[in-house]
Formats: sequence, C-alpha cells, structure tokens
Amino acid sequence: MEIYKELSKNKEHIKNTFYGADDIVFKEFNNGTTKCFMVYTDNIVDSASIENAILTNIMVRGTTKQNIEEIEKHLISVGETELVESFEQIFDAVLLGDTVVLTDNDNKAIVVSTKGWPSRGIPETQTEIVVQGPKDAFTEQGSINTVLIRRRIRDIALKVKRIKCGRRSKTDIAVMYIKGIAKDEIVKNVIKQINSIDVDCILDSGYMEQFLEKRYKSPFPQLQLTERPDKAASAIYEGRVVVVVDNSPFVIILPSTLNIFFQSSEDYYERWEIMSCLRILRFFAAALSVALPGLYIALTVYRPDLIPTELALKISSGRTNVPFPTIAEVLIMETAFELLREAGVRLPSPMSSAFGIVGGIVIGSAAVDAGIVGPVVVIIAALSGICSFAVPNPAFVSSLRLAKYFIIFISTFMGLFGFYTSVFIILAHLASLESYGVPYLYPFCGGSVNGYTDFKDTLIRVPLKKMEKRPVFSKMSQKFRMTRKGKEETK
Amino acid sequence: MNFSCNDKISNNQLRAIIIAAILGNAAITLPIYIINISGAAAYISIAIGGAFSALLFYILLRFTDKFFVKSYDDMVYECLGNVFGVVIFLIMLAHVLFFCSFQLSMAADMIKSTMEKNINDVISAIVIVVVSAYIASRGMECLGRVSEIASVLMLIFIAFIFIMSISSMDWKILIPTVYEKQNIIKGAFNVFCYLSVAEYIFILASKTNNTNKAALSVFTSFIIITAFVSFGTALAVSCFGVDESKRKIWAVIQMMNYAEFPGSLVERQEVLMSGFYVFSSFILTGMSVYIASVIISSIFKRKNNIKFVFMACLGILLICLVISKINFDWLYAVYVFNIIMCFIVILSPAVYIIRRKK
Repeated sequence: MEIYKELSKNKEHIKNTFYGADDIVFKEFNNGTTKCFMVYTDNIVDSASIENAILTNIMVRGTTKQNIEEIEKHLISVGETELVESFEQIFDAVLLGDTVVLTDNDNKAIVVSTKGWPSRGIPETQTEIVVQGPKDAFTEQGSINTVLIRRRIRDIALKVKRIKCGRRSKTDIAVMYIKGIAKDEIVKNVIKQINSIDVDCILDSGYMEQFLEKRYKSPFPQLQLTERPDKAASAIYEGRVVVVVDNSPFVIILPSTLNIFFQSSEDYYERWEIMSCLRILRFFAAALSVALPGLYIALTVYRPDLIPTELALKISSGRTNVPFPTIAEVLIMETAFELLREAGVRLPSPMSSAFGIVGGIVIGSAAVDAGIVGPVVVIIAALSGICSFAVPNPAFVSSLRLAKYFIIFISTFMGLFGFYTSVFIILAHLASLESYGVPYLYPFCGGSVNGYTDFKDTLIRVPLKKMEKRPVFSKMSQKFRMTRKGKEETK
Repeated sequence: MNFSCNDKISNNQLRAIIIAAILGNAAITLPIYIINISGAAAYISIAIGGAFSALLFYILLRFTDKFFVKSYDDMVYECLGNVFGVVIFLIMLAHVLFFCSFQLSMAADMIKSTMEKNINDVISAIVIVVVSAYIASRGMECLGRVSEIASVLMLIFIAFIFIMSISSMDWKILIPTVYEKQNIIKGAFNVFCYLSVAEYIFILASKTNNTNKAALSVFTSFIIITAFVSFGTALAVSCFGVDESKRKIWAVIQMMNYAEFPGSLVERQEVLMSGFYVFSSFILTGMSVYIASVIISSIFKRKNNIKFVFMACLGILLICLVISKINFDWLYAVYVFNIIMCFIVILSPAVYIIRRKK
C-alpha cells in the first residue's frame, strides 16, 4: 500500500496498524512550519542517534521549503538512509530497529538506520572449546556475526547476500561465500531453498537447518552448525557457504560431510602428528560409542563362546546376583547415563561437572553393590558415553546416541547377525545421504566420481604445507589454495 | 550438480560393487565345488578360470564400451529387436533372481550354522532382502558407496587373515597329483562359467560415468577376486587336506579357526569372517534387486521405481523359499543356467557389434 500525501492520513494508518503495541513510539515535530512525524520501536534503537542525527538537525537547522529528499540529503547525518514509498516498508523498518520520518505533502518516507539492539557482547565459546586458538564465539546479533567473519576474510570476493525469512518474524538471513571459490550451483541452490521457506517464524539457526536439509527425516545432521567464527571463515575459504541467522549464536555451514564432524578447529592450530593421532582416536571413539553396547549384548547373550574363556568367566561371575537379563542391565545403565547427561546440561555450569562425576560414581557403584547390574555393564555404558564426547560436534553425537540404541535393539533380537545387520543398515543409510550434491561419506566413498579424492584431511591431518588443494566443495578451477612451486599460480 | 545426484557410478565404485558382491559368495561356494573337481590343484583352476573370466569381460567391454553412451537395454533392443530383446531380458531376469536366491539361501544357511543358531533361515533371508531393498531403492550411487566401504573392509580383513595364516601353510599338500593335474582345465572351465555369468556387469558398466575405463575396472576386480579366492582355497586345502576340504561346506571360513592370531580377543574367528560374508550377501542381494528392477523396468518400458524393486524382492524371496524347502541339486541347476548365460553374455554384444558394422 502506497504512502499518502497527507501526513494526517499516514499518521492515522500507522497508529491504527500498531494499535496495542505500546513499545512503538510516535513523535510529532516541526521542520520550520512543516509538520513531521517520526515512528520507531523503543529499546531497539540507538536513542542518541535519534536525538542528535534526526531531531536536533531537523528541528534546529530545518527550513520550511525543504522537501523530503532534501531533508534526507542535507539534514539527517546518519550513514544509512533510504526513501521508501509503501507502508509495508515502513512497518518492516520500524520492527527492525530503524526510525521512519514522514513529512506533510510528501508521499515518501525516510528510513534512518538507528538500530541499537541490546547485545551481550562477544562471548567465549561454550560448545567447541579449544586449548589453542581463538576464543571468541558468535552472538545472537546477526550483524555482529557477519562482522566476525568478515574480520577474518578481507577479500573483496566475499559476498554477503541478505534475505528475509519467516512471514511474521522476518528474520534476517545472511548467506556468505567467496565468489569464485564457492560453487555457483550450491550458492544458487541455498538461496533458492531459503527463499522457498514459507513459515511464520525462523527463531534460530536450528529452524533453518531443518528447512535446508534434503533428508530431514534422517537422524544424522547434513549441515554443520558452529559457534566459532574461525571455523566459519575457514569453511568459506574452502568454498563452502555460511548461512548466518539473526538471533542465533550458531551459524550454518554447508555442504557438510561425515568427515567434517570429526574435525576440530584445534586440529589446524597444533602440530599435525599429535592432531592426526587425536583424529584417529575420535573415529575409533565414535565407532566404540555406537557399537560397544550392542556388541556386548550380541556376544554375551547369543555367542558367549566367542569371548575368551577368562573374560567370559569374569563377566559371568559379575552377573551372578543380577536378577535382570543382560539387555535390561544395559538399558538401565544407558538410561541412567542419559539422565545424568540431560540433567547436567540443565544445571549451572559450576555444578554440572560435580553432579556428573558424583552422580556417575554413586549410581554406578550403588547399582553394582545392590546387584542390579554387573560391573562390566557399568564399564561398557561409561566407556560408550565417554567415547561419544570425543566427537567434536554435539549434533552428530546425538545422532550417534540414537544409532547406538538402534544397534542395541536389533542385536537384542538377532544377536550377532543383528549386530552386523544394524551396522550395515547405518552404513547404507549414511551412504544414501548427500549434502548439497556432496556424498555424505565423502571422501571415504563417492569421491572418485569427480576424479577428485582428497584424503589429506580425514583420518589423519597432513602438514598444512602439504594441503595444497582445497576440499572438494570448491570450484574445480580453484582447487589449489597454495601457489605450487614451479607451476602457475591458480588465483 | 557436482559428482552425485546423476544416478551414475565411478569406475572405482564399479570395481567395489563387483568385489563386494562376488568375493564373499565366491569364497563360500566356489572352493568346495572346485576342490571336488581338481583336488589339491583347485587353487590353480581358480586362478586360470578367474584370469580367463577377467580377460573375457575386458575384451567384451572394450568392444562394447563406446555403445554404452546409450543404456544397455537400448543397446539390446537395437541389436535384437523388441521381441527378442524382451526374451533376452526375461532370461536375464530369471537368472539374476535365481542366482541371487541361491546365494541368499546359502547365506541364510550359513548364518544359521555359523553365526546364530536361533535365527530361522527364512527370517534371515527376509532381513537381508529388506535391507537390500532399501539400498536398491536409494539407487545406484548408494549401492556404489556402500560397496566401496564394504569391499575395503572385506579386503583388508581377509588379507590380514591370509597373511597371518601363511606361516602355518603346508605347501607339500598343494602339489597336485597327476590325476589332479588332468582335471585342472575342467576345474578352470567351471570357474570360468561360474564367474562369467555376471551379465549384470554390462548393465553396471553402462551406468558408469566413464564407460571407457569400465573394462579395466572389471578386469582388475576379477583379478582381485581370483587372487583372494585362489589363495583362500590353497590355505583351506593346506589346513584341512584335500579329502577333508571336500567335505567342508565353508572351507575358507572354517579355516579361520586354525589361523593363529597374536593376542586375539575373539575365540572363534570364523564368526568374524562369516560377518563379512553377510556384508557380501547384502551387497549381492542389493545389486541383484537393483539390476532386476532395472530389467523389469526395461521390459515394461517404464522408469525404474519402487514398485519394480518390490517385485524383484518378492521374486527373490519366493525363489529362495522354494530352494530352501525343496530338496534338489540346486548347485547343478545354477551350473546349467550359468552356462546358458555365459553364451548369452558372449553372444549378445557380439551380435550387436556385427549388426552395427553392417
């Protein structure tokens, strides 16, 4: 709907629209003898900007003869201003923290950028802590998040495409990538996907993640969420696309593969030999965390003859007074562990670690003493739980937990055959996943289709000097990130 | 976009599918069959037969690769006409279903005897088919990716076992007698017929993103399979002796129990080995379901969809039930069917090449 020429009509329409919203401030004032009207949302604007750059200038230095274009050009001393012609643009601007100025006899309005959101500053990382490396993390303010990334990529090719998403929330989304390195198909696809989202609100990047995933019914995350700006910047340098969602301290990185969930920022900040060993350990830990309880059930219940005799005797003697079947034992301990973990998350951080340790020890030893579970099951559950924490990505850890219960369930009914079958089903499911055209299990499989398999950053992380190529996500023409000695520089 | 989402596989994946599908099954069914023909010289028969098989596929695929620009079914229809094309595809379908069902019944039997005595063989067959149907319904790429991982796991594990077993090998037993030497070629011919029935290789090869290199991939995969099965047979014969090996149904697997592993955590390694055979069964069944659904779709001239996958699964399960319930020398039936398919495999591309030249 277009803005009227008469200020009184405009005023009435705006006030009627915002009726009941007490945090919207309406201010009438004069520019010489011309009537002006200003509207903004309280507390999300920078009051000093409004007073100094708008009110003082117009009321003191303004003259009657100036029209709205001249006011915008000569009186408002704010860098970002825009003339708009519709009420929808006015309402969007007001809700976003901008201030709108209207004058009499003009069917346009000035939108002045006066955003002054309450912010908690740049926090430290909470979920992806590293010993060596930057400590800053993303915050809830999308604009700060883009700045945190831009600070690390001082390249004119870094593009930021802004999109509004959510019919009512009108959440600001920023799609960031380096033009020339990121594949155009992926960028186009992401923007198309975001534009196609038709929902009331996008409150967090978790919402956006679920809308962007192709196989949303899969328990495995196909996009990566991170709270670390260095990780996001590194992803952009690799040719991936970062989606910053306003009001969320996590940004989305895509495409993502299973291998990426085992990578930590620290891997690249410390010596390659040590980090490679840790990388192998993470993969091993993930396998253990998923398979150990299921394998224990399959072996002890169905095929105890496969266990070395002495170990089998020890397991058996530990279970002498246990009244429950093995499956119940395992489920009791696994459920106790899940409860401890869930309760620990809700507790304040100084208490949660103490609660976890005390709870684990007390419940474990009490359960063994009471004869509810055998000691080996406590070890199995604890080992499986601890191993899952070795994986750096929390979303992926949750998927592994779910997979663990799937293997337990199938192994309970079909023993060792069930164990093999469930492992194969998980493998087949992972193989069927893709993230924006990249096979989920790349580069372990599927990579050779393009004749471009790179194992230098998988189970081991080779020295940075040897990592000449970017991962497969980038354009083929930009696959070298280093100048190759004696060969033409690619960039 | 990129390298996926195009329902094509790479040449590595083609190699992986063939290895994952055939290696496990060949290691189970082939040794006892060939040991009964050529005795201690079975490993030589397998090596010769496998090498010829690899060569045959290499030559056929080299001649036909340029025609794979079209799909395999287009090629067959163009070559033989609609009626004969449909007949050929029906024979192929019957063979794929029958061969897969036979291997499935063997797998179910082996699972029951070595892995889980409590699991009914029908239940395990159904489980394998359902899981395979999931892979087949996800398409060619999914099958290729799973095979890549499964084949690497299988090869590493089997190679490790073989290396550990070499020290306990009795080489004298492996020297063939005069009678056994005379039967080497007969055994080799049987191996050749067993391995050369893989008509689905043409369908797979036509789905690679670089058909020019498909011949080499198939060749190397057959050489790897031959090497592993031949060596496994030699190990089994040296471990049990010729007479005992003839009676052992899963000689290569049972041999595992006699392999010494330093600090082993598992008492009976044969169960671990049979686990890899289960993986192989999944891949073989998955591939057969997929190929069968492709053949059904080409017979009906429709796009491949989930209905055809379901039909293929049902067919495999029914035939498997018949095989497991009716007492008959099914191995002989497989053998006869294999020879028929061997001729079809050789003849259909040859006819195509001749007709194209005219």
